[in-house]
Amino acid sequence: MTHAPRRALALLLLGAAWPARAQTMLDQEERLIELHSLLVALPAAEAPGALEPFQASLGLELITIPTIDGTTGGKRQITASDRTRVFPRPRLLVGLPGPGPLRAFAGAAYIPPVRVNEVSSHLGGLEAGLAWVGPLAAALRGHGVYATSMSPVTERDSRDTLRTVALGADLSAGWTLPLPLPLVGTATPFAGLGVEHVDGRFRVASDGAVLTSRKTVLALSAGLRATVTPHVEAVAEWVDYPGRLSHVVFKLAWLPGR
Amino acid sequence: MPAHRLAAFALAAGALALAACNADTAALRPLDWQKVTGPAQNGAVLGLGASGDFDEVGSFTVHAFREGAEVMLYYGGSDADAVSGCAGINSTHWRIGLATSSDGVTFTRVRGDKTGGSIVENGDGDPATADFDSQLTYHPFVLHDGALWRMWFNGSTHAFNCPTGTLALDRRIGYAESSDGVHWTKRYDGDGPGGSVLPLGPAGSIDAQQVGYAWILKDGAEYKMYYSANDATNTWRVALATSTDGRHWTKHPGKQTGGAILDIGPAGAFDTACAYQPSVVKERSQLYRMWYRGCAAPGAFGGPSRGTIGYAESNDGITFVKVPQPTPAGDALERGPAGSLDSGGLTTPSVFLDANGWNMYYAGFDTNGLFLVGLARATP
Repeated sequence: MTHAPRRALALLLLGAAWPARAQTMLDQEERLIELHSLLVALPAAEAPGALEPFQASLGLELITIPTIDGTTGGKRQITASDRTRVFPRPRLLVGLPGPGPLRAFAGAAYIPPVRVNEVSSHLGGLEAGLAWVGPLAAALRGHGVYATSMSPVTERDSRDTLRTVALGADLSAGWTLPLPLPLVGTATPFAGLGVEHVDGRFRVASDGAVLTSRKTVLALSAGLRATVTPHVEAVAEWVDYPGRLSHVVFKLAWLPGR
Repeated sequence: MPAHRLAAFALAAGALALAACNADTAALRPLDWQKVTGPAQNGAVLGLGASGDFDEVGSFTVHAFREGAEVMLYYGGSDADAVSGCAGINSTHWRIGLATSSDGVTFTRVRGDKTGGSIVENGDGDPATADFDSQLTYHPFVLHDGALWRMWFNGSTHAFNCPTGTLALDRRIGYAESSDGVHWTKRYDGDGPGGSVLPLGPAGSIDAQQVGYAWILKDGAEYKMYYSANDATNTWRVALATSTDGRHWTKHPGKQTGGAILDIGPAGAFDTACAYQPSVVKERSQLYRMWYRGCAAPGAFGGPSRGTIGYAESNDGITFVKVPQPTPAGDALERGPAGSLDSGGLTTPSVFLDANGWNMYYAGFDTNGLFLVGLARATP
């Protein structure tokens, strides 16, 4: 074994044996802010280059929420999973002509500030990107979300606020398979890799105390898009922010005028 | 593929996908404090002073911090000048001294020019004056603030516990200034009783009887004074006052009992009888750490007894939440075994973070009531 691999192995073993850094209540609080911010980030929920120019996809996304332990220090905060295990989000995506052989696309997501189960969220999101369509399609996408959510977190009767800005970019690839099945016209498995930056600002209603958390994390995804009929598509996408959050989003969308 | 098989496949895939969902919240990993055996009696890092010195009977109520290459250890010391038959430190005069160390473990006393080598004397030095710190002058907190060294300390006109069962119940916070950290000039021009720093609260308030054990944090342009508030039942809690000049203070009520920022714990907790003597470190933005003395039961004549070190955290330096620590009782530092310097209890934690990690100096006392200075360390 040469010196370089030995050194790398030694460093690896040292890292494995190194005692974990002490973690504080603040680390727990910041992680909760990150988790709730990542939940509302905008995954692709679509196969790369799936929409032809001027083709629209108007859908409803269902975002699953895994169990989130709200323990911080000696206290337990109320988390999103204490309220619901899934929340809906309308999504609009439009295919656009792109330069040369590329296709462009742009989309939006919006949740109006309707109070449901003590939670009132107001969310707006935008995305845009370019796709190369061939036997293997690929897309580069940028996206952003601004959201505020009011709900009881620190106390049962409080109206605490989380304001989230989530910005991200990802690169994805997919391969469309024509399937001779009665209900499924095509199936497109796809996968993506990207980064997500979340900036969460949590405000405690009772005393106005503010806690912020900013983090940039890796984002991985894998999904399947199926055209059920020429006018209906279904997407299931597993989204993973390693070490933080893994969850699944589903989308059912109408493709008008095709 | 038949439709029902497709549906079953979709359901199975969905179930698998949901099973892969998780949210990794951060696990609490408290600092792992390890006591350091020092070169002095019972493993202390600072033992007793020489015969005739101001600290020949006890050394306690510490404040330690790093100043350049040295650790500065300001502390209270008890002389042997007993005014009655009360044992140990109960009837003596207490004054303030200084010791320094390059390694934080082996200390050398800096001999001051006051009684018995102390650096801060009782009262103003004139026995004819009835100053609020004529008997006890101790628990120094020193802030090197630009060119000025500032000191806040505890003062009392009464012996600690003499005649036995007669506790000092008139603790006040004093203030002194220095240009070198060794030679100090007291100021008796504060807003509290006798020119002390902090007024008492009104009848029924958490600081109606005594105030003391101040810890000052210069936080931006604001000085935060975490002080111990004592009510008419002789129960100690932590309260907060703020200042823009370090001299005149405004009390800042917290969200807990009577405006405390740290309250005593529930029945059965290690801090159910007292929660005071705060040591606060602002580690970074949004992270204020507090260590404090907690007592599981009151003393034989009321007030605190024994004691271990608890821990709380805050995002803003105002609202603190107690964080359970890894010991069975949930405290951060427990009493030591028989024969150790802190087999009887621990008081006055003083914590700082330097390049080597976390350092907690504290006063420990054994089951004979001997007070010495101990040290515990933790890696970040």
